[in-house]
Amino acid sequence: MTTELALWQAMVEARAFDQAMCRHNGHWHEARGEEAVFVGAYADLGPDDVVAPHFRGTCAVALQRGTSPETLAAGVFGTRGSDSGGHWRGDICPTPGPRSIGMFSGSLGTSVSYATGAALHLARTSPGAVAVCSFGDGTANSGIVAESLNLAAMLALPIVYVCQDNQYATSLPSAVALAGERVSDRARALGIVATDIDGNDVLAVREAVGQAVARSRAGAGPSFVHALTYRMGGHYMNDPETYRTPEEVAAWAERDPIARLQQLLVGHGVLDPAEAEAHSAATHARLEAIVAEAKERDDEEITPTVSAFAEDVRPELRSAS
Amino acid sequence: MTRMTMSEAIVAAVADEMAADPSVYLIGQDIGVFGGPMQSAKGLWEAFGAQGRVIDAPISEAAMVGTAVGAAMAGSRPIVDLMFAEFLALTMTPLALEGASVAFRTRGQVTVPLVVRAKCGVGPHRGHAESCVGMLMSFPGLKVAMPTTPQDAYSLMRSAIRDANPVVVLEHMSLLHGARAEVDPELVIPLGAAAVRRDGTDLTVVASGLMVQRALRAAAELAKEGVEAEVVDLRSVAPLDVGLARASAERTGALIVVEESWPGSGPAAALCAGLLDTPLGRTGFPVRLLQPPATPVPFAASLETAFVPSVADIAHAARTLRSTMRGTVTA
Repeated sequence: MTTELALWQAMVEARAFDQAMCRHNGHWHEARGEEAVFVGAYADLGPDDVVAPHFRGTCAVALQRGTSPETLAAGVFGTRGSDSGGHWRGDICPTPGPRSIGMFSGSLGTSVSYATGAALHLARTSPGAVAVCSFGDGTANSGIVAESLNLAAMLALPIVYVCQDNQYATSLPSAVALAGERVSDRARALGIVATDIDGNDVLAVREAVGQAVARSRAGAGPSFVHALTYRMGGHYMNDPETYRTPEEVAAWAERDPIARLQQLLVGHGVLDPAEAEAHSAATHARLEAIVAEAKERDDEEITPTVSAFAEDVRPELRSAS
Repeated sequence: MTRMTMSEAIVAAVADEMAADPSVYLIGQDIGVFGGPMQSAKGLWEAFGAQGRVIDAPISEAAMVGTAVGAAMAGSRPIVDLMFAEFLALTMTPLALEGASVAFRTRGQVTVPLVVRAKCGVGPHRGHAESCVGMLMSFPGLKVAMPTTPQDAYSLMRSAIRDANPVVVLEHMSLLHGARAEVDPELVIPLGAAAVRRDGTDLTVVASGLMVQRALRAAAELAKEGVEAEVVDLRSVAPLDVGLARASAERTGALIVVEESWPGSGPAAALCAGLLDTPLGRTGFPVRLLQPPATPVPFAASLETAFVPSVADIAHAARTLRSTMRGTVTA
């Protein structure tokens, strides 16, 4: 299991990458404040498990699972060094693979069905492996999410759904848009075990998702974790944020997930305050340099691919028939 | 060699692939003990249901296809029995906009080997006739097959299941339970290859689905008048075999494209665009299109009959084109 110190380091690195992107990329979607959800939910998974993070946090999950920040940054800028060689958006689909799901358009909700299908594949081929899939409070209202949850419950699939509720779908508050008392009640109505947790407490997220993962590994089917957090930045860079007050944002700054864990670790004597500040500053400086350097690579030539068929992209995939 | 209907041939192809490859599974509505709509999965539940490889699904078309895309990316080879082609519209984001883009977007690191089966066209049902063919053809990376014979149905279904791309197999409801014919399970037919169904010298008729059968009947009528029409069955509409259609029309000197699909976008429009893709931007032979009007498929039996090109319509179009050409020559 990931140590508490490693969770803190992962959150610091996630924020450092995120904040460097805020400085260098006008198209970035800031994830500050939500780190506890995506770091905690994906911390203890193995290489055979499938991850399908929400777009806000997906680069952090890739970092956590070993992708280099250089590759991730190239993906966000769409340059040659990216995982897709500049063929697709690395901010929402950084490291697609058989065990890693990203977004393949700007449409929200479909990746929840992909993760559910991956769980079906795991159930058929790799007993004990699980899929973890997160999505925002906005995506929770998408029809395909309801269809997918029903299928997962019906087929008792090994998947953990994490609603990363940052309280805003762009501008629409989840308090308005999520009808009913709790979004988790939608899962309960399907017979899916559901919990509601403090999404700014990384230890609570890890504990809740960990229990759900253990249930799925044991063959007990899907679970649902509703993690309440807060989007500290706008939906996008230069979001005028006319839909909320500075006081509301300031109140949530008090509950910053990184500061909270840092305080706890300092209290337990695991972390020295000065060392913590030094590590944090060094991490931010390191990622600032990587992102700034990646931004300068946009003049490298990329060979275009002129067919969308798999066998044209990779000739060895030509059908054996 | 066994004699089969198209429907039986498709089920046999699915069964043979499921027996050969454990990564293949089938999901769809009413494909359990019910045996599939119009017997589309007859016997598969009995053969593979206990292995969890025949999944009787709720009415969740988007999630059926979405989960199949996800399972395919993870390593399975899913087949979705979507019942009717009109339901395809409910699935386009996971199937076409996204699923068909994955190989390109990942440079082949991830692929979506997925088959979607859908019954299409006018047929014994009152309703469900919308085939949405043009919609499917609008997305790069998606293949679309449309068999018209038991042999093609068997071989194209096997090719579709083995393909690395998402493939939609459109099963025409007026052909599915037609005459039985010999099926050779060893015969391989690649996706994207058209076939000449009838040799002719005087003009070429290119068609797909039910229109192939009607074109052949029209050709028989025309033969009585001394006009020999060559009939080309597209078999796949994506990729489209423009080369074979062009070669035939260049040989006969005239082309009629007959479609049951809507005008605007679809096989006829795509074929014309392909034919015009020459150094001088012209074909060298006249081209006529015979298609339904740009309206939804009407309900009244008489209106539905009038909506789809008939044998008489095709024969008439051939005569008109021939007389126009003679007029042009003498003018």
